[in-house]
Amino acid sequence: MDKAELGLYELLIERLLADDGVDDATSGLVLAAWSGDGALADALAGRGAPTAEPPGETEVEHPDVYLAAVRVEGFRGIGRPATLQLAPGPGLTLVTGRNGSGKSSFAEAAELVMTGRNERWSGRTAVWRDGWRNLHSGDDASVAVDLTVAGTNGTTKVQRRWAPEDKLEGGRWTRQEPKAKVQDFDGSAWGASMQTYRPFLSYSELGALIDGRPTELHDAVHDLLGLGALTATQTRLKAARKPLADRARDANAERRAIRTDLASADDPRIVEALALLKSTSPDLGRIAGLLSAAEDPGGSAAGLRAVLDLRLPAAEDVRAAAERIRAAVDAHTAVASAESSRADLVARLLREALHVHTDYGSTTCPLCEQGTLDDAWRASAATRADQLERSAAEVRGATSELEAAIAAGRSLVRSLPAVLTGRARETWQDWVQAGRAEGPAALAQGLETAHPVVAAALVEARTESEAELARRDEVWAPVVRRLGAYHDAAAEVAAEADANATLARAEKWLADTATELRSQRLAPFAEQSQHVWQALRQQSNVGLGAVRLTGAHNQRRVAVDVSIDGVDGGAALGVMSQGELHALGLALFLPRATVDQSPFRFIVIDDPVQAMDPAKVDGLARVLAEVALTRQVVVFTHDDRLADAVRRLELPATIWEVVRGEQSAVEMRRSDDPIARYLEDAKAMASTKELPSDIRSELVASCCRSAVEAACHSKIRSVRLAAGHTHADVELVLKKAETTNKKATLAVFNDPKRGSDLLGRIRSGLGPGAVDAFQMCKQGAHKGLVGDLHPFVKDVKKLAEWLQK
Amino acid sequence: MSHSAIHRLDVADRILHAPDLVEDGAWPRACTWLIRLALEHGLDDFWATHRPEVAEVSRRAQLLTLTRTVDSDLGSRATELWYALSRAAHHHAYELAPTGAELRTWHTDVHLLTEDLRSRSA
Repeated sequence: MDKAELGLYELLIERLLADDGVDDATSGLVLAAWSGDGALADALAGRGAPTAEPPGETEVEHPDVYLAAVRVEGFRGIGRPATLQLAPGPGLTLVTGRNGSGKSSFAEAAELVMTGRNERWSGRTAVWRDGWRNLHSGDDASVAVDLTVAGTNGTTKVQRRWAPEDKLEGGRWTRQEPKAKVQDFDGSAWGASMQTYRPFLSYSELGALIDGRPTELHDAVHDLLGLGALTATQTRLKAARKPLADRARDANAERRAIRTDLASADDPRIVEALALLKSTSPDLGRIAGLLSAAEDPGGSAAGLRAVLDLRLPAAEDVRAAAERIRAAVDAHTAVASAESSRADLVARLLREALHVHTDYGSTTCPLCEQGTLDDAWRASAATRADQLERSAAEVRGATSELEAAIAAGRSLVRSLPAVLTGRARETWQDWVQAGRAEGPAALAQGLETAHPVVAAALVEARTESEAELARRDEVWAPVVRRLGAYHDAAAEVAAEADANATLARAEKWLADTATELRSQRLAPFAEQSQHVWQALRQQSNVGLGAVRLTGAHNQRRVAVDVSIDGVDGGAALGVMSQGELHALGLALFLPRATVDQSPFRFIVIDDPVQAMDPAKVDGLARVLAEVALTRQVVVFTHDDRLADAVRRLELPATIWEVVRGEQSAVEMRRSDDPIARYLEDAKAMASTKELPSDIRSELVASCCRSAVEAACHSKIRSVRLAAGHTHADVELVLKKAETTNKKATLAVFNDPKRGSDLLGRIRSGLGPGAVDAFQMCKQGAHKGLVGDLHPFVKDVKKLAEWLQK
Repeated sequence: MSHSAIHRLDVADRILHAPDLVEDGAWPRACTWLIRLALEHGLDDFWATHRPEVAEVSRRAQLLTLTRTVDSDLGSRATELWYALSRAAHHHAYELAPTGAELRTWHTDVHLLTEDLRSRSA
């Protein structure tokens, strides 16, 4: 978590604690969601309470980076190697140079080598991008920055070098830490920070901050305020709740769909199910009960299935059984007679008599007491007994077979099954009756008669049962499946209902709070923008109101409320001048680039003053000087207005002038105030032996006159501007004062009519030498000076200082 | 061509080729002055030959006279050059040292102009 996120996290906890409406479960989920997907999943699964302690602050990789130098060779407007030396630390540096002098090349080079791209070129055509090489350079091209990083000794060099055949995107990009080897570099180490804090601002980008690509600024502000973490938390909660909410919604939709789809069904089970489904949270237990009972409600389906299971003996078995009975009856009839029924008794009597004969020999017959049981009798009696015994055995066999046949016949018949109804039931009863018929013949006849009838009826009953079962299955089975699926889904929804509700509360709380948190985070940023705008607006009638992050997706942007003459107007942006838009752009850029957690302690601004009027330039100079108290501010500008304002307002600044000679030879020259510069020019020319002496005198006098005039301008400007004159008025006055004499008169007396008093005042103020110097300046260009010119330059210097007092 | 003018243009040309001749990076100003002085000397010599009385009036009046009475095209070229060089040489707010390319253009223009003036003198 970086500083911005940590700050936001503290605010979040503060609000969670302060809000009595938030229960522990809800705040637990909010904090878990902040920590990440894993923590949120754990919290939802009831694993481990999220800690209220924030994770530690992660180290920013490049703390307090300052620019020490920008080195350019063969790139854009710069041919021979040129270096822009910068004091690595807070302070304002102005780099001035005319259009085409190569100053922007430094700005672009610094941006390119640090970010890998340049805002001004991105989106341009190939022709534009391909013109990046300097035409006058030799083979190689390179851009480099020397960086100093607080807390480390020495400079870090980041360089991009291109061989002659390389494209802009190619070349070798390297980074060299102090006392370390050169390493390849891809910019990714600070890519995110570059995007968020973006310390570079080019002229073309200045206008675009307001009306160009608003999403980019939105994202940057969003990130630098740490709002990304807030959005991520919201996204996580939403993502965690989505499957739960989806399942609940789907289950409910299915419940209603079932009710609609089956509204016309008459199946009693379905009717019951629909009644249960009326409630938005149906009794799932009862639905489950219905589903299991519905397998056989009232047993009717079992009855139907039992009918299918019913079996009758086969027709040929019935016929065989009847035949067997009849055959047994016939066989029995054939052997059974009056004698045969006594045969056993008679045989036993004879056997007893034979025993008596055997034991006692021939005796009188004990039964009739007339005959004699002798040997002759014995022979015939034995034969007779054998005959009688055989006859008795035959009768017994026939009787037994008959009984068996009858039993088999009766056994074919089963009792009436309860499941049978209608004709099948009647015919089965007849079948049962047939089985109970008296007498073997009747039995055989009954079985043979009843069987085909009951068999036909049973086939019919089975067919009906089958049809009914099929019909029932067709309606119910899909209902069972659908109801079963619904039951399972609804059961899952019910199980996670608590989690769903808590997530919903967490989501809603955060959504409600996020807006306030954003405003709270944005407030200091907006205040700074206000501050910058107040400094820049000067006489502008446009007021800057709230700064807000608005919109979503492609419409997201930083919105600024502007009012004109105190009247709010959404269309105010449309009537703002280009200069005002640029000022507004700066008002948004500066707070972003100078936010405390940015590792970049420098900002590089290319040509911010182009469209600004002089009053805004003064404001800008003040703002920049203020920012420069804590930041290294490097401003490239194509004219002298900003430098002029800085000098006039006596703001601390280092001013460089970029001068570009032929063949793209660029050099840097310290450029303090113009008076000192002209005097330096004069001294330099006075010392230049190569110049012919007459020309040298002419040049030195010209420069000295310029120095005197510059001193006059400076005095006139500061006096008049301090007295409340506008810049335009002052410039007009300066333009009217054409000659050196008139300028000096205005500077000394602030009154153009006192020209005749001028020389007298110079004499009384500085002595006769100064008057001579002044006259030499005026005439020297035409009359020439002789000898050593340095004393003259010194006199002029004194004169210039006096004029400014 | 005016000798004074060509003399100054020669020096300016030398400096443009070798800026290091002038100390402390003052070469752009030095060249500006030299080229402007060359133009002024060219004009002075022209008036000295043709209308000595005009040589005494202000430079602005001289340029007006050149345009109105001698050659409007020549006059406007001279006027434009002189103002551009004055702006670059004199200190006015919002102006910075001219680049080598600008100086080269002025140098060429002044060269042609003074040549033209001289040919009318003959």
